[in-house]
Parts: sequence; C-alpha cells; structure tokens
Amino acid sequence: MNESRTSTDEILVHFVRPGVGTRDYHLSEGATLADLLRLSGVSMANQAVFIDGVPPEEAVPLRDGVVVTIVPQPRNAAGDEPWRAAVPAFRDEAIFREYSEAMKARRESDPGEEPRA
Amino acid sequence: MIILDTDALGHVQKKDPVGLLIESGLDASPDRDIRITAVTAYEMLGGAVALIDRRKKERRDPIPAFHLLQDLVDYLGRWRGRILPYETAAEQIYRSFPARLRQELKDDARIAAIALAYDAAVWTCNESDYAKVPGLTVFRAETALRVR
Repeated sequence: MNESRTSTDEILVHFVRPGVGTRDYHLSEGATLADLLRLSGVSMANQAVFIDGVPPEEAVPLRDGVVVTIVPQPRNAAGDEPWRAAVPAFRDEAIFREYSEAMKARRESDPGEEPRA
Repeated sequence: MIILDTDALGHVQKKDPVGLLIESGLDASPDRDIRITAVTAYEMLGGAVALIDRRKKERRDPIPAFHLLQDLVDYLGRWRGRILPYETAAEQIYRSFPARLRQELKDDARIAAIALAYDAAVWTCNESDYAKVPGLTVFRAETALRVR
C-alpha cells in the first residue's frame, strides 16, 4: 500500500478528519479500515469512525471511493442516553406550539390543592 | 444526580438551539446520573391529553395530537429506570413548603421536592422560580452553571 501509487488493483479512499483536513489514500483492493488507520498513523482511541456515514467493522474491506470520517468521541457518550432522542412530532412547529399552549393552559388552570384534612 | 425539569426537557426533546446547549452541558457534566421525574411525565402526557381533548372539542383533526401522545409515550420509555417517582418523602417535603410557594410553583414545587428527597440538582431554564425553594441546588440548564 502506498498513498502515491495508482493502479487498477487499488482503491481510492477519502479520509476526513474534521479540524485537520481531508486526505486521499490509494490502498490495495481488499484493504480494510485497520489498514487505512495503520497507514495514516491515526489511532481510534477516543474516536468515532464512520464509513460513508455508517459505523463500520474494522475488518470489513473498504470500497473504492468511500469516505472515511474520524471524529472525537463525544465525552461520556453512550448509546442509551435517553436525552439524545428527539420527539418526532415536535418537528411540526404548529402541533408543538399547540401542545405547548395546552400544557401552559393546564398548568395555569391547576388549582393547586388544599392541605389534607 | 441531575434532574431535568419539564421545560428543560421540552427543549431537549425538540432539539432546538436551547436544547442543543443543554445537551452539550450534559455531555460536559461530570455528573452522569441524569434523571427526569414522574411529575414531568405527568405534565407531558397531561399536555398531550389536553391537546387531544381540545381538538376533539373544536372538531379538529385529532390524529396529529394522538401521534404526539404516542411519540411522548415512546420517548418516556427510553427513560425507563431514570424516572424518579413521586413518593412519601417527596410529598412530605412538598407539604413542608409554604403554601404560597406551592401555589406559585405548582408542579415545579413537586419536582423540587423530589430533587430534595434524592439530593439531586435541578437543571432548569426557569431558575428564578426554583431558586425560591430553600436548600435546593439549581443549575441554569442553558449554561450548565450552578446558580444556587
């Protein structure tokens, strides 16, 4: 593998590192993500890697023309953090506004409560 | 332990600019124990039910409101195990608040009571109200800074 070499047995991989830049690598056909990382000298420690926007398997061969992106792992990120989810219905501004108004009206009409007897 | 109050959670659910600020504050926080309360679930679902009722009463299409309710139920399911209950300890703390404070803060007073029962900090966009609760730790959710 050599980034300056080109032949029909090679694939071109675009390696994107936000904040660092984009670099193209020519790899042997069948090269994997691990090969790319070895060649580029980039460690995956505390990094998230995506191939064409999808988290990959290290051993999966790269395809010609793919874009490999490596970004710092969000601090303390975990897949089960519920606050990362959104409420799809809230994308509809009109229904969200109406819901917010209904909540507000409900709060304002809350009479509170008398102390228990 | 961090408790997101109902308004702060609303921004996070919508992923609006304030919500994204709150999310990044949560990412940066060393406290990873992030919760909501049964009171917030009650307020959210109550709001959706009120919306359905309003649309039915006004003879308007209720389907988007039912979709919203379903989305909220699904969303709350993601918080399973992280929804603090409203129990006797919180109720006793709530009852110890001055009546005027309970009346003014309404359900936010119950969230504050849960926070005190669990020794948790409240992250809110409405810090001036929560700051009236004696002994409560309050963070401004947008800045992740402790205000009290």
